Amino acid sequence: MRLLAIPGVEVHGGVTEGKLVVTVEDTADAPAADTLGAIGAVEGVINTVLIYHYGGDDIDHSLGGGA
Amino acid sequence: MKVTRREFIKSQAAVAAAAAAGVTLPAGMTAIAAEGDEGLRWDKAPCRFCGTGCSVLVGVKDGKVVASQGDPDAPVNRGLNCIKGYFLPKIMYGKDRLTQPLLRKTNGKFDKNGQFEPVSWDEAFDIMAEKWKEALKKEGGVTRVGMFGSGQWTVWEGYAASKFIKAGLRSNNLDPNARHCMASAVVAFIRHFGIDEPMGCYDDLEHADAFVLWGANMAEMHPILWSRLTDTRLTKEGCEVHVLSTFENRCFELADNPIVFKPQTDLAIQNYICNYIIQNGQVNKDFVENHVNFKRTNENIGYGLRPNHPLEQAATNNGYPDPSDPTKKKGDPMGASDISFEEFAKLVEPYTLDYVAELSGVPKENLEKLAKVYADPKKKVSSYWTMGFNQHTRGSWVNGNMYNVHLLVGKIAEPGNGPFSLTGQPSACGTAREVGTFAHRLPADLVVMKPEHRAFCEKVWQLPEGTLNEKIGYHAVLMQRMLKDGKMNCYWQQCNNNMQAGPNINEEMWPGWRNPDNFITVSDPYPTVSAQAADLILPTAMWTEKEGAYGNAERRTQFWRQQVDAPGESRSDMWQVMEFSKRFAVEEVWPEDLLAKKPEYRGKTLYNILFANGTVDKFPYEGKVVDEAGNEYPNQESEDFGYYVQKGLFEEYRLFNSAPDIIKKGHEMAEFDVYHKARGLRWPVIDGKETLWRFRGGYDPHVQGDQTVVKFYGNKDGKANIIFAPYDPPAESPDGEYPLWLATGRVLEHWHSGSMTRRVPELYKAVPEAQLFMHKNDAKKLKLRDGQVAKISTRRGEITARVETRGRNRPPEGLVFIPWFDAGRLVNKLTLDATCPLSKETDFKKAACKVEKV
Repeated sequence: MRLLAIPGVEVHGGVTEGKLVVTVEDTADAPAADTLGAIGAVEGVINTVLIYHYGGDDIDHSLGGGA
Repeated sequence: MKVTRREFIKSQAAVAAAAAAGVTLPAGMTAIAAEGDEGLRWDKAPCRFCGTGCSVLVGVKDGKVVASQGDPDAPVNRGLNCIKGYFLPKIMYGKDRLTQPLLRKTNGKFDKNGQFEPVSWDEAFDIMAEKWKEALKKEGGVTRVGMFGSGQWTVWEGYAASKFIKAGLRSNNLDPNARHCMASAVVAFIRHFGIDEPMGCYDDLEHADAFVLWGANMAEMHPILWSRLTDTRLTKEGCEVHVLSTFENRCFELADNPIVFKPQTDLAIQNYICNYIIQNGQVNKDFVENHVNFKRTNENIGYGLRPNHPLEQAATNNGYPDPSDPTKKKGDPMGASDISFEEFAKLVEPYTLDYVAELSGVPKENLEKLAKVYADPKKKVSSYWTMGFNQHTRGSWVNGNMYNVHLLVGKIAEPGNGPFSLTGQPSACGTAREVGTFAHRLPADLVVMKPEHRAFCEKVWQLPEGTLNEKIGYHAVLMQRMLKDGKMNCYWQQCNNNMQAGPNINEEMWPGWRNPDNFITVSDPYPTVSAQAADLILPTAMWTEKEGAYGNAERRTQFWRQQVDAPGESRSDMWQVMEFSKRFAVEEVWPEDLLAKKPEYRGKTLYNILFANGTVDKFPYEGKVVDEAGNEYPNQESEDFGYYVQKGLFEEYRLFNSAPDIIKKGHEMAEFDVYHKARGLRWPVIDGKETLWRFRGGYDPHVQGDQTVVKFYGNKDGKANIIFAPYDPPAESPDGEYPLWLATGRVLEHWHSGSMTRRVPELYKAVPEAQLFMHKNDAKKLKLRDGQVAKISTRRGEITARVETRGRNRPPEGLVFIPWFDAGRLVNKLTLDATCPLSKETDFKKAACKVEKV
């Protein structure tokens, strides 16, 4: 819930495993990099690892995912 | 199912993340991702940054890299990325990419004090060749020119440069920035084992029971290896982590035994551990008797400073010319004498717990806990180190002392047990070390000083006997001194940013580059500090804009294909070297007696002799490179030269490490095409099989027998050396005038001098400027608060930076830390160009400074 409160963040799964799969998008207020930092600061988050990055011109925002 | 482009990409990301994390996703998500990826071509490439050697998948659309993900099939990173690797595609698309050569000019002509103007490649090479030929005619000839390369060069870029400088120009003035990075590690490998690079591999991260970090901030500098280490620590019962540093860093969060020691006292701590092992009867006698020789290093070796420095005048073993008889040398810093085990025990005996605790400032219980983990025969220990050891005026000793510890207890060359030198750069091992782009090296651990090594090299390169120069060239720091003194006049820097990275910019570097007698060329994708200090800038193709190969810290050789075209007229470093070699007729650079031995070379250019030699140009290029799936890729150099250049250079290079008649076994590599299919292979590779642990039967094909058999075959007698080296004070220590230690280093978000990562908006924003990390009590004494600007000065220069007392690095009182990525505040104006006298690697970790309120 605390993660979902961050704009641009969606949680896709991993609750049972204890490793959440999250996507992060740029928002008007916060580039994805800031949001990544914000996730690390959330209570209960031990570690964040980055997996996939997309930044093509064919989409108006860049986005990526992390576990 | 109809989905938007955004939903589709999001599902791709989520599925990749879930696979890497071992997490199950809802079926709908995976179904969307399985629909296909709309014209993205995916291929593997090793990361452009550190020595870990992670593999990433690169997604290309419409000639641009638009996506990347951690490579799930890569054994190194298993689908994970660090934040720099995550933003990799963006490093190529900075707004100020250089796209054409730039020359300083006034009124249409070259002028050292002129403004940069765009020129053609022809004009750029014309003026460069004119200057180089002019310099070669001066007294000293081949020592007047030189090249400063990189541990970020691809294997074939380093190989081509080495051929051009060492064979073509017959100069040994070729050195890489890896000199600043791991030269001390190399010296220790050669002195102790007779062969370069680690015996173990990253698999130790899962096999060890205890980890010891010595001057390695893995959490920031090798984050993917750190995540593997963290996993082991959190999942293996009894696993412990010991962290040693001169200040608290992010690794301390996981430390079971946190140790902050006074700078330079690591040497004493290591000798204390040896003493503890001996005093407590924990020497592995069987191992030591069968596999180890004992030696004692020469002492009083100086600090690699200029000969007129008082410290060098006092040194009796610095190897400099003797002032009373310049034909003689003042001793030999490399030298060592044979001793017995008993003598070794006597030499480490003074390093008692009391003495070392006092000297190092480390509490006794922490020192004992550390010594016990090495001494305990039931604990498998892996030691890791990086710049804390290497950038050290006794760097070769402190590396070597680590081997002393592991050899005494026989904890080496087997799963989980091993000393491991982590590498800073992506191909410091694969290119700088293995290809041998140092002032004294030739490929595959051969050296220019040995006649039989030169002869072998001349044979492979089809050179007349006597072509190669036996005299060691100028190393990185010496090059700068020689430029300043006007003894070296032409300098070509590729793939690094030495005007920001090198030591003592104010006194030793800038004056040489701007010396009116000198012509400085810098090849770079961006207008770096170095480029702006040069006379000629050549625009360079980077990373996946060329076909490449890197070799990481665990001996893993990895290849990638060219994915996209470089912007404008940018060309790879290899193309630049090969094209420049066309500008030299052999008669202009080789004497008549040499040519007489090979008359068929008359009338040829260096390009004809070195590259169009029947070996390098042997493999045809069909206008494209095709992978196993049928995807097609460009190859700029092969297109231009008319043959598969990378393959030709690599297969010729293999004649040094894999042919039947090689001088030094143990570096064997597979054929070119194999690497384009594999996720890298760790050498020695024999019959397609890689080697995880060297020197041990059952793992290393060069050792006969099972896993109980050990043979250090790099040395003729099959034994490793334990070499006693004492504690020596640093070259410069704090005093009344400059009361604080200054240490420099890196941060997670930026790669080295930041020339790439500072052009990625997200990374720039994450860490926009270098801060002054200091203890809150030190700040308080100076009436400084967090965020305030302070002036930091040494005897050599000053910079300003904002104070940070609560950040990720927590120095003890008396020490400050400043990262060097920030071109806006060049911390290397402050550093001293003192080096390890054996490795010639600078100590960037210890200078005396003062901090003042502005």
